[in-house]
Amino acid sequence: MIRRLARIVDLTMSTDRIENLSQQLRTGQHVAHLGLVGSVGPGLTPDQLACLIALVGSSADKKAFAALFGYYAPRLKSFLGRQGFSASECEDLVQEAMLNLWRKASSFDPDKAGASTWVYTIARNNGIDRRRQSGRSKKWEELTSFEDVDPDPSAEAMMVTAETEKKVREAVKALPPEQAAVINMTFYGETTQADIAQTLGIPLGTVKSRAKLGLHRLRRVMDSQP
Amino acid sequence: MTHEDATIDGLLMRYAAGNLSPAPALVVACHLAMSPTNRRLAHGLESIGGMLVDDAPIAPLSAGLFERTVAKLDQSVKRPDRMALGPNQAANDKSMAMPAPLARRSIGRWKWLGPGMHYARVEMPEDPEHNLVLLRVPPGRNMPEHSHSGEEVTLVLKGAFHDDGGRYGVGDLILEDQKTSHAPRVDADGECICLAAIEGPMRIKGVIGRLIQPFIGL
Repeated sequence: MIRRLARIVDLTMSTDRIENLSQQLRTGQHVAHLGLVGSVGPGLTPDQLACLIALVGSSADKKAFAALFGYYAPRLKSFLGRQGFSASECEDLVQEAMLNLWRKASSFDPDKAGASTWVYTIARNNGIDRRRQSGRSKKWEELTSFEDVDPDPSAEAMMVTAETEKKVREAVKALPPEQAAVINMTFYGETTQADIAQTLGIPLGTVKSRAKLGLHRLRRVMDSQP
Repeated sequence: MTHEDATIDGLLMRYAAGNLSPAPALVVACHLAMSPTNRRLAHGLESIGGMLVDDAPIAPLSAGLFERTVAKLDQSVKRPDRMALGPNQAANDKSMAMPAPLARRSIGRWKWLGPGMHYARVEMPEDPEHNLVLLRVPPGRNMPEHSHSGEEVTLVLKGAFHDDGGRYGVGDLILEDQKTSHAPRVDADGECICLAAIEGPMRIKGVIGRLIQPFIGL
């Protein structure tokens, strides 16, 4: 069908499943069936999400976009809320992230990132730009534009992306809760370990050692990849 | 170097979470362009962000948000002007690593910093809190001894230097906080070029430092 979709097929999905999903999307069955348009999105698998982004990228498929909106918009809204954005800022940022998803979908490479990781980086970068523009609080003053990693295209393709991401997720979920909390808080706008220590009301040294242990485990998981 | 690894892991974590300022984020991005291993770690950490999005609670959306978004899909985007690429004289030096995130930046001329030592400023108007500079130090010499008021993130682009903490070669990333003030020495067999993001005003020590400080404005 198309190069990127073909690659997903090779990687993770059978041709039948891809054909089936594409067919559903074309006829609107998928979207209607899942009740996705502008409403609460149920779970979709990483494969399905990657496939939907690939469809947006290859053929500007608005039904696929609607399904992605249904899945990501409500989740991004609460994720951004946890980062300290107001309700109206959250919806602005959700809209911005979804528009950027639409515009950048053709550059989505399932070999390099899972769908949600890719969407996360879009939302993260939008959020950083927003903080720079508004200078909304002292805490965020230092957060400005973000330099995206643009690795050498000749670098080894990350053919193991899906597998790696799955392992990382399992590893994070298997971390002792206090270690996972310290890592998760970094994503919720606690910019320094001192901030985290203050929020949790524990000594800075404890935060440092928890982060170190947690990251050490994650690195071991990733280093064990082929 | 277990201790250093933990420090760098923490830095990559802040990078993945979007908590670094532009200048140190650029230095980290350059490092990732040079280190497949840490690029994999950074990607893994970004995938935690993806997981948190997947697991985030379903928030109710305002009525019409979807329709308003769809209405904008076909509008042509006014792309913000990409930063015009200025001269990048350092990029002419083929002997030093020039990772893509740095190559996209405008870099000033090499300027005199002390006997045999030079620096070049990397333009980053979006981050006035940091000095982003290339430092070029001759073989066997001490790096300019300095102290700084915040964090300093350094990446080796050519040659190598060593200090109490170990030896650092091309592609190595070093994080120091304001407590460190030392004078690392460049290997005897070749000059060393580093990219450094220095938080807050930098103070170069010694007579020469005090003499040149007002002129270089680091």
